[in-house]
Amino acid sequence: MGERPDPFRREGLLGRVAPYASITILAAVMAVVTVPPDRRGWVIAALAITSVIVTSPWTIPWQPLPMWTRAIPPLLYFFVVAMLRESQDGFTALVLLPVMWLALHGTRKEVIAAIAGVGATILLPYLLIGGERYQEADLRRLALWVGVSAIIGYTTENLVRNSRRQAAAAARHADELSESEDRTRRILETAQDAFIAMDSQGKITAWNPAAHRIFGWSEQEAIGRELAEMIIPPADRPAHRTGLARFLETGAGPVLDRCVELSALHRNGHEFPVELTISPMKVGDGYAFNAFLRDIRERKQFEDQLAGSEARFRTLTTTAPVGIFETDAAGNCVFVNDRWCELAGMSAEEAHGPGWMEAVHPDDRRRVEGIWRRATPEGNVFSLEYRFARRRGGEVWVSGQAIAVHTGGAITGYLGTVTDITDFRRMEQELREGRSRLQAILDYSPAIFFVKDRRFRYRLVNRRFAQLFDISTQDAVGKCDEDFLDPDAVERVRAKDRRVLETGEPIEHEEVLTIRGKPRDFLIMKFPLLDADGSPYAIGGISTDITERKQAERERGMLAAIVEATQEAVIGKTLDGVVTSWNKGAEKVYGYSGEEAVGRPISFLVPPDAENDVPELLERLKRGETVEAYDAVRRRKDGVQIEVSLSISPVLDDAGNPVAAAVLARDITAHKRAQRYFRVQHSVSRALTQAESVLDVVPMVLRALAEGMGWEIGEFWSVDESAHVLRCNEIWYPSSIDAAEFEAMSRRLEFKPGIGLPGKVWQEEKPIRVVDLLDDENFLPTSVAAKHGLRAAIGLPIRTRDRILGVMVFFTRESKALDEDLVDMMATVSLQVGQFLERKRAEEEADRLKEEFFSLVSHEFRTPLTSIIGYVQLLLEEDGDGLPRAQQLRFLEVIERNGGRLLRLVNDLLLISKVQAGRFSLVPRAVDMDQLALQCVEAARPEADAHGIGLKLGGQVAGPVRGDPDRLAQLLDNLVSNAIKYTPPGERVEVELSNQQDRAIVAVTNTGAYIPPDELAHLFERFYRSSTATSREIPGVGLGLAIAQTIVEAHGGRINAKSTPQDGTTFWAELPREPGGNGGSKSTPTKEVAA
Amino acid sequence: MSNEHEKGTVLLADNDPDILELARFRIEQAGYDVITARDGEHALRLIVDCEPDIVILDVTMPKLTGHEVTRQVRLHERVARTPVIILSGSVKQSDIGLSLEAGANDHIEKPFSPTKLLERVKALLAEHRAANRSQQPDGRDR
Repeated sequence: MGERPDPFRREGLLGRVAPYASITILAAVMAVVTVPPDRRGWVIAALAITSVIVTSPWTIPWQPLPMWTRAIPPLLYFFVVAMLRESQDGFTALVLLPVMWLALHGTRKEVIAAIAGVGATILLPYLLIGGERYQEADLRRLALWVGVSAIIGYTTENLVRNSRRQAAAAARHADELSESEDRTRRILETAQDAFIAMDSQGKITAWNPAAHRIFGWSEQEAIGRELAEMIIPPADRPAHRTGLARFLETGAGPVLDRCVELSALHRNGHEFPVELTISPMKVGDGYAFNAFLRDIRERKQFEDQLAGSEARFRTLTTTAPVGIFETDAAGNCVFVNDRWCELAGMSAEEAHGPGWMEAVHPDDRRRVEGIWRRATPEGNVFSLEYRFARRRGGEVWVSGQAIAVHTGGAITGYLGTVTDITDFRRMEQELREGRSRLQAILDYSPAIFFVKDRRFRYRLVNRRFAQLFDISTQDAVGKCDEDFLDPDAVERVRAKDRRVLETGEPIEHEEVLTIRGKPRDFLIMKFPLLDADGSPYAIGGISTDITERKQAERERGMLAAIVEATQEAVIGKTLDGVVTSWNKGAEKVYGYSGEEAVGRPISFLVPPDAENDVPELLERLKRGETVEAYDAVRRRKDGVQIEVSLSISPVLDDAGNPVAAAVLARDITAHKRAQRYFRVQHSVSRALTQAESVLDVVPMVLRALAEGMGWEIGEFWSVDESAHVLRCNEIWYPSSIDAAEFEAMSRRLEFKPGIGLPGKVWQEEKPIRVVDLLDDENFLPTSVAAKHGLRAAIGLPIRTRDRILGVMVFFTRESKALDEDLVDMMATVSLQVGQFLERKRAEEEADRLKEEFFSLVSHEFRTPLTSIIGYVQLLLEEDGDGLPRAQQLRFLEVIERNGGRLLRLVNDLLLISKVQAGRFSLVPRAVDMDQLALQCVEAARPEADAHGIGLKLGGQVAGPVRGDPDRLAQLLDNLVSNAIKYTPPGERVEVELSNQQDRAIVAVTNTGAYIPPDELAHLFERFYRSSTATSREIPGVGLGLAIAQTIVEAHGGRINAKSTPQDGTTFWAELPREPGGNGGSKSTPTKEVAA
Repeated sequence: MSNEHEKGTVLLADNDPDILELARFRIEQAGYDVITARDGEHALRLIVDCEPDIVILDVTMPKLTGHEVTRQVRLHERVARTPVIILSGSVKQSDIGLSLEAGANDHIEKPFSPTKLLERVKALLAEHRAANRSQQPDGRDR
């Protein structure tokens, strides 16, 4: 069935449709025949539909169903028909069924035959009998006909087909037989082995070319001859013959059908080994024998060679560096070489048999056996690494191989080798450890490690990398930079990667990458990984996060910038004092550049003549102490000594031990100097305030300056105004110096302006410095100075605003740097001293004047008092004696006059004190000056008369004066009495009243008294007394004119004086008259007052 | 004789006429001859010219002070030993010293009592004469 073609699979539309169409047609015909006419329509319709559905080649659900299912519809049909009709019809259907089956599943020919049969069966009776007479019974017969004819047709066809097939097979057999004979003959002719056939008498019947070649006899020569004569050596011939005879008798032969080796004889008489297989063949009543012979001379030769090779193999195995062992098929050791013994630690005897297994390490034995068992039956190569446990201790790792030895198809034993792989194992172990170590190093390395392939994909990253990007090391593989970085960064990184790949050179660069939103600095080292050709196949990278370091660097940079920018010296040094760093400030302070200073011991800054304080400072630093605000003296590069304030801090290591030192140095020279100057000025000021007199102050100032400024000798040369020379009247030097000779010399000397240092200062009126006296021509007593070792000097003028009072000169033994500040300071001091001296002199002058004034006042009181008291005493004493009346009156007049004089004096003093106290005031009203002048002149007349002086009043005032009558009277008194006082006897005093516009003028002139113009200016000053007054001992205190001026000016007037030798002296006062009044109308009330 | 002998010439010098008159009145009243001067130069000339027995000088006088006149007198051989009384308006201690230094025999402060002045004149003259007698008894007798 399976081989038969599926009718539904036939090709072509017709081929496919035909079987179904035929079935349908058949079924329709059957329906027409079997179904009564009144029901035919329905049945045919149902049948048609069913057939179409069932037989449709496109009805997919049918396709996978078994073939027999296709028989269901017809069966169903017939079953239905059977149910509808009588049982005969069912029978008929059953008869037809096989026909249908056949039709369905037969070959094309069968189908055609069946259809033809059926068609004939149906049509023939119809045609023969005629339609009208066609009966149902006939139909049943017809059906039987159809079935029978179909069966017959089919059977016939099969028979025909079978007979044809047998005939073809017989023909083919004959062909094959003739071919076989031919082939056999060709085989025998071309075979390498000799083929000889013989009959039961031993005569040769067949002889192939190989036999000719092997034995030397040709086919023609051999045929018909006895085999034994030809190729069996004479010694073997009897045995051959008896063997042959016995076989013929008994049918048994020891050599028959076996391959035996024996000697054969060549035509040339040589014997040689052959392999013989002889087989008997019954032919009719007798036997024929076929013999195959093979020349085995070469094989023998080979076997001999093999024996030699085995000997060589043995030698090899004993000397081979690998252990070799051999076992039989059961696994018992038959051979081990020395190397094996050495490795296994077992002798060959011990290994023999099953003993070798003892050498295998107990832990590995089971494994070895297991592998062995599995490997051996299949003939696989046994290969295993295992250990030998040596009896004398120690393990040896070996790699064992074994292979089955086959001999003739069967396993005859096993040959194995063992190689010492202890070193290899160790190396492997080391390699493994090395790899895990490397992995550990990579993973625990603080650096980020990665490998990228040529397409810039990560192939390997370490744990740090993974942590950085928050990814696992596995997940990172295959990713590229785009997955981790922003596009800009990718571009930068990629450029570097490319360069590494292109150049094959490693590069190192710094990169700022944004990681989780924060920029971080990385130091990245990229290098190519090279393949065997030396071309880069990948990029390796080691990257370190140096953000903190960069930050620290930046901070350090900032600190360094601050250090560089600061004005103070910042110096680094070791604990041994060697300079390690030197900033710009240090260059400024000390004058040395960084190159000059770094590497030198710091003590090079200490002046040679100063105490070296560096070792002590270093000791303190080594103890970890901090030195703060330590003042030290250092020397600049230009040799100038400076004072510095040092702050030194130890630089500590992590353990807190000092390892270096940082020095902060500030130049405080100017500050110190200012301090010193301030102190000096202060002490000078103190001296000035404490000094009682001018005489005290100079030595104190000399001392303060000399001590404060470090000068050794100080001199004060005062100006002698009259002689116009300088004289040394003060000298100061500390008691420790013996400068007596110098002092004596100085005190002897006098300097004129411009001569010597003091004279020069006096002349130039400014400080003068002498840096080296010995070189200075101005310093005269050079030898004396040299004797005292005096080197430098400074001269300062002591001055007031307008004149030089003296000169101070200071000397020192050192060559001093006389800076401008010092000179300024000393100039200030000298001005201070000068002002002080001036002030003191002024004060002393004032004291003197005051004393003089009091002396004068005292005198002025005593003189009138002397007269008053004296005359009173006279009167009292002489009362009894009876002085003449006129005498008494005269005495009394004197007393009155002197009383008046006293009163005037007291008034003057009172007025002056009022003026001084600011309490001077007027009680103004209209005053008749004519009247007032008259009274005054009359009052002064006795005095004038007493001195023999003429007194005269003239002129008139145009009207009353607005003023205080008492003060105006005092004014007139003062002017008149003053005039009388200075007028020599015989001369005259004139009082003249006049008018000038709205002013009244009172002029008092005295003749015979001349006041020079320079004195005239001072006349109205208080306590001023003219030279006339002093030389002529004219009494008075110098107040009269001052009071007169005060009064006049208080009235809004003016007072003046003029003097000529001819006309004498005139004082005149201009006083404003009563406003709005004239002489006539205003004079009346004044006169009343006067009356 | 002795009385007449005891009387003598007194030179009075003061620039204040009232004081001059006061002293002269008392001394003349006592029987002495009085010559007066108003300034120092005048006084010195009178002393040299008239060789008074005693001289009374005010300190503060025009031209020459009392002290200066005294000094000149002491240098003048003929009148060097003439007793000199200084009248002073000042109360300073230094004035007394100056007076004595200048060679004055006495120093009287103003204001003074005319009677007291007369007593000092008498005493000084007596002293002076006594001294003269003891020094030159022979010479005078011869």
